[in-house]
Amino acid sequence: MTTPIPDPTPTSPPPAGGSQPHGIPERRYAGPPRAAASVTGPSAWQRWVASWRVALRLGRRDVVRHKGRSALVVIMVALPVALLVAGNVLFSTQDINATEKLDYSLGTAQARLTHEEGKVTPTPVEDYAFYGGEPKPATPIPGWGSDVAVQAKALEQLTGAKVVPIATTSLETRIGKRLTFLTALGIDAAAHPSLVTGMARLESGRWAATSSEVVVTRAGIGVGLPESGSFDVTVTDTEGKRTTKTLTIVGIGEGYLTDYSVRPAEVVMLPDFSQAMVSYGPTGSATFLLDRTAPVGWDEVVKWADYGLRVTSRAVVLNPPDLATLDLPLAWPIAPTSSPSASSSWRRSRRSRCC
Amino acid sequence: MTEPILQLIDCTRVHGQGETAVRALDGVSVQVQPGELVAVMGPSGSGKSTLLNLAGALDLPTSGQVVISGQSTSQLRPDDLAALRRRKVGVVFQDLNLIPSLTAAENIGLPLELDGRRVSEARRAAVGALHELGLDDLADRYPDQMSGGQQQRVAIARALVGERRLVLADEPTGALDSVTGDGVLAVLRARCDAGAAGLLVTHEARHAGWADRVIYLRDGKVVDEAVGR
Repeated sequence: MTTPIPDPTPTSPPPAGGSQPHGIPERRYAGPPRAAASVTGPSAWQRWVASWRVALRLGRRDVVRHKGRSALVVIMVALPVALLVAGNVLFSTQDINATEKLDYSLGTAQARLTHEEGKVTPTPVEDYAFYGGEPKPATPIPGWGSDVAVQAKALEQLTGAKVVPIATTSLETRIGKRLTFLTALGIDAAAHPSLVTGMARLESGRWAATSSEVVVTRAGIGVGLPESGSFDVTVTDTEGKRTTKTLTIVGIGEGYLTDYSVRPAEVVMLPDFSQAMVSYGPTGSATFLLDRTAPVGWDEVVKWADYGLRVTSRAVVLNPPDLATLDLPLAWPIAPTSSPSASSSWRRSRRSRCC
Repeated sequence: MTEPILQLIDCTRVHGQGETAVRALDGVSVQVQPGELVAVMGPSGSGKSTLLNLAGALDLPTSGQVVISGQSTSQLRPDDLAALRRRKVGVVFQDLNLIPSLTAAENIGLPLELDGRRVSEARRAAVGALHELGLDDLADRYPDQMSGGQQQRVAIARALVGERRLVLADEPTGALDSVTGDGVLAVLRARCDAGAAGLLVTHEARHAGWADRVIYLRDGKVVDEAVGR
């Protein structure tokens, strides 16, 4: 069954087969199509590259042709991503790790020793030190006394190495009309210039040689301290007596304190252990740098823990012992409630850890 | 007798399953020879678009076979099917589907570029196709800078570019005035006269007059066939 095809409009008659098509100028007629496609075309790699090339061109064109819309898309995608990345970076970099902290904390010393009230649980890294609970009595250090010089001598006997006392001091001062507290790194840097490398640095002038001299750091200048001359500070001694003394600036440099994180000290001076506002170690007792060539091994850290010495050893931090061999408490310190003395000890420990 | 460029052999296409199954095409057989333009007519829902989708390898039959240039679409892997579409089949859609971010020349050369040809080679072919349609000035214009007729001609040029020998057109003049529409059909006719095979879906009998044969579809079946010209 067939039906006649209706004629097209008279104004546009269909052309005869194979002849010049209707409406196309003769000079433009390209003739019959080329031969059929060959089976072997461009390679898969060329097609893959081409597909990306086209997609990227489309994207670029869209950006160029619709700038406002593209900017909005970028903002809506980039802003949350940027916030997430910034938060992550901030969280990850707000503190340095134990290895990065070593030079700031030890200088070039092999270890940092802090005497505490009782036996301590040896830990490879000070940050993970366990504080809390009622301490067991420590084995007395032969020759130990209340004076820092005596303590240093006793430690030299025990460790067989030279020890250098170190302290963090808080100084009250007025800058203009503003009352402020300066943090001071107390160490005899002039006597041990190589030992303090990494912990303190002298830019100009010289290190303090007397208790009335001081090196001002860039951080100190930042809070308003002068770069030369002198300034007054008020100190409170262990008897509670407040005295004002003048500190003469003999140099400009840098110094770092390492409690929870590394922060710059405002001044570097000799350690003054007669002051009440001195923070020595985590429990308020003295801290010493151990100056010897041989590294302090984990066995020494464990042995000295019996004497109530908490040790941060460069060698142990860099090569910590296997966690399985450590005799660490299972839980992070929980404030004891049964014993008032233990509770206060824990609070003090938490407040002044590791300096 | 030359081998047909397009063969639909007893093709059935069923959409859906069970009680909701719809038999869009029911045992349809069509052949299109080189140089032949076949029009497909029928009311809405008669299966014209389904037929065109099968013919363009955009869809596969539920049963039966579609053979394009000697290759059965049911037996090809997806990658090979895509390559077949890129190299052998040109489709002119009713809504054109020109990419607004690409110029006319880039739209026309797109199938070649996606096939891995060099940009310069694709552009050369595109400019040639535009020249053939008398649209030389449009090469660097974006679709929104062209009239409807010009866009439709560019869409046809895209369907014809390269070495394709099967051109499928789904209501290519639907959005055009009669003069412009006739011009578009003339181009299609010319390509078929030059050796390509064409399948034209249309509602208008006037447009079917450009075809060599007209197939009438109803309820998924070929109910009539007319030979003209």
